[in-house]
Amino acid sequence: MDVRIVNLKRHFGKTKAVDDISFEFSSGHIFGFVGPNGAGKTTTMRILATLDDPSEGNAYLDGVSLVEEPEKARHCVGFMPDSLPTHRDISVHEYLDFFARAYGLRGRRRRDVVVSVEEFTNLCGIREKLLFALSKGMKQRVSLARALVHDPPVLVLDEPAAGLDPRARVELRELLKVLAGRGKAILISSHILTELTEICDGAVIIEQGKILRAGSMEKIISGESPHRTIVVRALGEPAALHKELLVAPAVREARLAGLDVEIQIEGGDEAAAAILGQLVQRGFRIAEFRQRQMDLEDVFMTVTKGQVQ
Amino acid sequence: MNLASAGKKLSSSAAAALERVNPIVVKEFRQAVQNRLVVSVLILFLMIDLLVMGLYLLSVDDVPSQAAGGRSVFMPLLCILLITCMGFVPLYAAVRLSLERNDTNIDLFFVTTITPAAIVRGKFLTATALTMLIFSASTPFLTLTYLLRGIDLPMIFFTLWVGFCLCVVANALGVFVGCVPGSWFIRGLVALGAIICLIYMVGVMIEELGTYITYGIRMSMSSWEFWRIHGSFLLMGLLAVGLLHVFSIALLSPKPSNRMFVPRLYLTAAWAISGLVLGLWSLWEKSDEPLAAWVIGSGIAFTVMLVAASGERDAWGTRVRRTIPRNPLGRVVAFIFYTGSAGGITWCTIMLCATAITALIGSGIVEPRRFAASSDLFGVVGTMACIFGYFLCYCLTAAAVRALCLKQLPNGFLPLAALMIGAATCIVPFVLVLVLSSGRREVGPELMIFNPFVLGMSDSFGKSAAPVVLMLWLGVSLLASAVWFLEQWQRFVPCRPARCPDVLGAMPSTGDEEDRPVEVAAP
Repeated sequence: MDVRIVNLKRHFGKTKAVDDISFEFSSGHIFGFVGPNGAGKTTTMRILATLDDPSEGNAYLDGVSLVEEPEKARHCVGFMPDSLPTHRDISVHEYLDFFARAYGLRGRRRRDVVVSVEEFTNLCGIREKLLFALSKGMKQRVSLARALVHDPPVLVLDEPAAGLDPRARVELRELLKVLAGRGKAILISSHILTELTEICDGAVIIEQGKILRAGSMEKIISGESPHRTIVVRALGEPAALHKELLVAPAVREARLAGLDVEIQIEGGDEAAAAILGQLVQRGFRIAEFRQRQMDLEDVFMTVTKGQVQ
Repeated sequence: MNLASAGKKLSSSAAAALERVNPIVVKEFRQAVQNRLVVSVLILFLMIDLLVMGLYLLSVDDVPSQAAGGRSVFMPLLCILLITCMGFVPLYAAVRLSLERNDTNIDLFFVTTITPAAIVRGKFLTATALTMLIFSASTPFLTLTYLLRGIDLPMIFFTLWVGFCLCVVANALGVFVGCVPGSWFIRGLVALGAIICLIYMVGVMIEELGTYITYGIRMSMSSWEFWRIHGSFLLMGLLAVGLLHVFSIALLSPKPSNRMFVPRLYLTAAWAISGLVLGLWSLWEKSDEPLAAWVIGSGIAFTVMLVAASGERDAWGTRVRRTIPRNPLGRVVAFIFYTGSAGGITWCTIMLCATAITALIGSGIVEPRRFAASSDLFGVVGTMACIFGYFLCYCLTAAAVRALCLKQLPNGFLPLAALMIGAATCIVPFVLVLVLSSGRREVGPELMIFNPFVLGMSDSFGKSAAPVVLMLWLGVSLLASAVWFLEQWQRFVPCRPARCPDVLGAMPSTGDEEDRPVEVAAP
């Protein structure tokens, strides 16, 4: 399934929450949606979930307009909002059963689907617990289960990892990978960018409602690092190493990062080898000399300005 | 063996029927069972019933000798039942729905494929089922009063039936209040209006039933009058429930949808049915009073709708536009019935004119001898037309002012602006008199001529001048708002469904970079 967002705009008075953004993603891929607070992520996701209408533009699921045919689109989209269910008088199983009924599942099929979703999201042990008695992590699982109950081909997940402990985060990551493997198109927003780098195939970075970068992860990262970054660590005082590297010919920039020195060099492997040789020649006892890959967090910090509307 | 298979068959068909139950009903019942408030209210209700019964039996020395013992216990029990069902159940339904339709809590609405109609139906059915539960718990106590003498069984069951019907209307009102969008202040105002309506309804019911309880109902039940009055009330109740139902659905429907289409169709049908019933009643009685009641009811309904309609949208999205018929006649009809400010005003005006013409024709058929401009019905029609005309002038003046000098004002503010103009026409005369004559003079009809209160003044000048002033004002405001009206008509054109463009070819550049275009291909 192809999800296309075309020239989408959402204005609240004079505030342009979403300002003419276009991107697309498709089945079997996890697409990161990244931006500072107030960038327009949740607004875009709410439009994709048919909870809000755009001021202009449109979004399409396999060519079907979300604006014109929201009822059709709801069959295809599973939305996990950032707010969590807090009912005091309904259990996990009843809650999921209601959503299965609401999506038109009937009889044995509904019962099987609810049980399988509970198993998939590891909720079997707490299925009879009331929602308000659950921890945040468990509520996140329930929220994900709710989004999965009608087996939608598209998943829109707004901050699914917020407030999760490390183990739950790892489990969520694995769940998402399994879901992508099953052919779901997943759009996920998160502030934990290192995790997105690991699981996403592509990403969109937005700020103040505008797209700053979009595309596959490799392209985004390689596009932002025209120079190689190398981390060097020597035994002894790093200041001397830093001083030496500052005057090395192929080094554009060198900065101290704790016991390490991070350098940006021009040229390829030859230049790196030459620098390493020079350092050894000068008597530095090199303990580590490695190229550092940029990740989404670096790109994010480079391209965003932290401005809010 | 056969019994076992029949049992199995029965249980499987019951399970299949349960599968078809509205999901909202299932959810609401599951929640109600676990809800401490609901359980507490039910227990408290039964305890109070038991207490009232017990106190009576303990306090009266010789129960069998009491001629009206049952009657004196019945009334408090009935009051407790009505307070519980008309107070707690609608409030419970309204508050739950209000919390669920909150923008920040999207648990229920719009995420699933469940429609607004199913949501409203589910909430209403749940509230009604809860009412039935309370009634069924109360019925043994109320029936027991028969043994205490002073009240007969038909009266008890008739009272329960009337009470249940009122509770159903109250439930529909509760669901409607729960659907009202906006701040808690606005919801509170609507809820206050609903509570006043309910108190009035209970008051009328207690008064009506009190007479029957005192004098007995068997005699009344044998008369045509009894069934005609109660049949009319039942019809009115059904129409009110239907009206609240369609308005609740409209309030829950997404803003870009054609929200007002079904309510307008419903109101037109309700108008026709009620007109037919009351017309037949008039014919039966050879009196135009029922027709006059119809004119008053319709006039009030269309005046309220007129003010509300002025605040509807003045531009349509593709969602509505793709359903507009392409043939000219269909487009005109759609313009009148679809959601839209100018169309809504037109619909209300047409409906009021149709009411007046139908009522006058009906009056001519009912009482051909008394058919004259001096008849009561003519007076009622004239008054309702004038009241409607004043409000039409306020709305059109507000629309004209907006179109001419306040274009940035959203269309949704027009009802408020219209009401402010109306309020100004009422207040300004008093201020003028106070300023110019220091309050020594009374406010005359010449100053009140711009508001409908002039029709209630004893001076005949106001009544005769009002139609003339209205026609002039209407003409001017129609001319002034013609551009606003025509613009809406021009915007109301059909369109084809949007087609998904090739996004890759349509991608904009990010704007803050020199030479790096945005790559947007799926990975």
